[in-house]
Amino acid sequence: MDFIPRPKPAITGKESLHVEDAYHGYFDSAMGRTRTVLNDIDLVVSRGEFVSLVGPSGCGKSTLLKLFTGQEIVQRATHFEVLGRLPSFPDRTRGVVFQNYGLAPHLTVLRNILLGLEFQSGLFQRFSREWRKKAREMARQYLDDMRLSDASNKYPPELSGGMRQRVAIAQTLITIDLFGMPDLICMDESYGALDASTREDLQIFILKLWEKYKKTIIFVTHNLEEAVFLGTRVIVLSQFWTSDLPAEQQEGSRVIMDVPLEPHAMSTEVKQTEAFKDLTKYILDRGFNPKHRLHVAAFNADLRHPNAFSTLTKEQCAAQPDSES
Amino acid sequence: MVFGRVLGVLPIALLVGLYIVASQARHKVNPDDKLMPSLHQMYGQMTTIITVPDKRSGKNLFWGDTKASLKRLGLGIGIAAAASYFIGIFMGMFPGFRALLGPMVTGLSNVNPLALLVIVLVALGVGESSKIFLIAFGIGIPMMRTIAGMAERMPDELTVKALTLGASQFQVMYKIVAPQMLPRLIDLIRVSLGAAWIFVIAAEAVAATEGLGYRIYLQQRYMNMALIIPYVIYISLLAYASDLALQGILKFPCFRWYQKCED
Repeated sequence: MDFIPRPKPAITGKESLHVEDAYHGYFDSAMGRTRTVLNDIDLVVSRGEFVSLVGPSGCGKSTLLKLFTGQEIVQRATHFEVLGRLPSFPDRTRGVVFQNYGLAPHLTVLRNILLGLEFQSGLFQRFSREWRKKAREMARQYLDDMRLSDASNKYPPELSGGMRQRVAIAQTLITIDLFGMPDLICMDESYGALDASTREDLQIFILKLWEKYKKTIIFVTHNLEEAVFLGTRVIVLSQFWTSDLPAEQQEGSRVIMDVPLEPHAMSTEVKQTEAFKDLTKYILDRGFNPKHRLHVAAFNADLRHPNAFSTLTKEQCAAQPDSES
Repeated sequence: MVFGRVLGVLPIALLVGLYIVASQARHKVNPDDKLMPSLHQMYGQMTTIITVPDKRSGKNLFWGDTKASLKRLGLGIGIAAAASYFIGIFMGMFPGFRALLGPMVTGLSNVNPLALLVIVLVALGVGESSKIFLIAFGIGIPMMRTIAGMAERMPDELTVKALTLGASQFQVMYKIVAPQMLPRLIDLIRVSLGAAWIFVIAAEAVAATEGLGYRIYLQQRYMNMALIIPYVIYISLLAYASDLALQGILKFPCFRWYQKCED
């Protein structure tokens, strides 16, 4: 019997992400051709999911986020809908927290945090004293939550990496409180520069915010423990896989694992349990090991989330009869 | 620190001393020597021009020259700065503008402004506008290229972040990019000051009725080194002072962030 790929979930049009057969790459002058970075990405994310996106270095996580925000436009795909449409330009519906901060160096920490409010407030609000007061109070609250109160009048170049990261996080999250935007938040290793204690604080902070507003979050991280703790779903994007196609068509990354997790936030104590540690180790062994390349036909075992699916052609798994069906 | 200062003064003092010795030696041979006037002669010439008004026009030539030159310099730099700031930012931010103006600006930046001087004089006349144009053109075009390049190299993250925070293209320009270009513009003016002074003096030498450069070239006819040498020193001091003033602007609290950016 032929291999049956995991079927596509029912699409209602209300999904945050609906990506099917997406390919993206960059021209490599050394190779003289386009090098594929994302190879046949299939992904459906419902509204309000907290997706942890992990994968080995260089697997194209940041590239995928660029496609979501609209910094780049996907090169080939049958479906690429973010909040219902193909993103062509960054706008306020899709927020982003960059790995290297993206702060305005000429504005103080407080002004940086108020930036989104300044951009989005209407004329009426800008001249309303009460609204301005509310915005400032909100910003102060965020400064407190982010442990930045002492730095509010400093400029980004005067801050440490971890502090800059917290400013960048506050910049994006504060707009949710005041405007209910963005609907999709892309966080690219946003917690990478934080120390352990601040990191745990901010993990709880983002979970609270997520429980309150139920926005879709794509959280890229290198810390598997963090990924499993935060997400309602862990997606592993990896370049370590094989298929029966010629080698040059096996370039780039695919979604090789998609694991459902608790659909609600958990206490930090869960990190100490055996099940938590086992899952972390399982993901590490299966998804991050260049010597252990899974065949595309064997992905089904790891594509466990109800929204997970894969579109495969017969050529991709010609030699390998399905072992999982 | 003090020792360092002394060390720095040493070669200057040596140079001045050498001049005095040489000047005295020449005066011993020929008391009417004009080539290397003594410090006393220079002092006499300078006090005369500073304190005694010109017989014919009744004007104070020294202050008149200073005012005329600084006005030309200021207007030229001002126009160059304003044009390069606005056009440069537009070129850096919008590919359409870059495509439209880029080749022309690159081409113009290769035109030698001094070679252009004659054409400018014929086209704009010998009045103030030709001199101001020369300065503005001479330093404005390279400044425009530099500003455009800096605005273009602005990190992508910054623009994208602002856009995702709800900024319009226009807001990105005037809230994110333009303020960051301001201290860079001041730095650029500092770098361009030397060239600006060259253009002022050159333009005044060719066609003017007053100005520091005009005075020097006028006195050249009489070989009046006793006035020319102090004037050259005075021009150098003015250039140094204008550089210090611009440095002072960069020390304002609103540019504190710029001092911290070490890129």
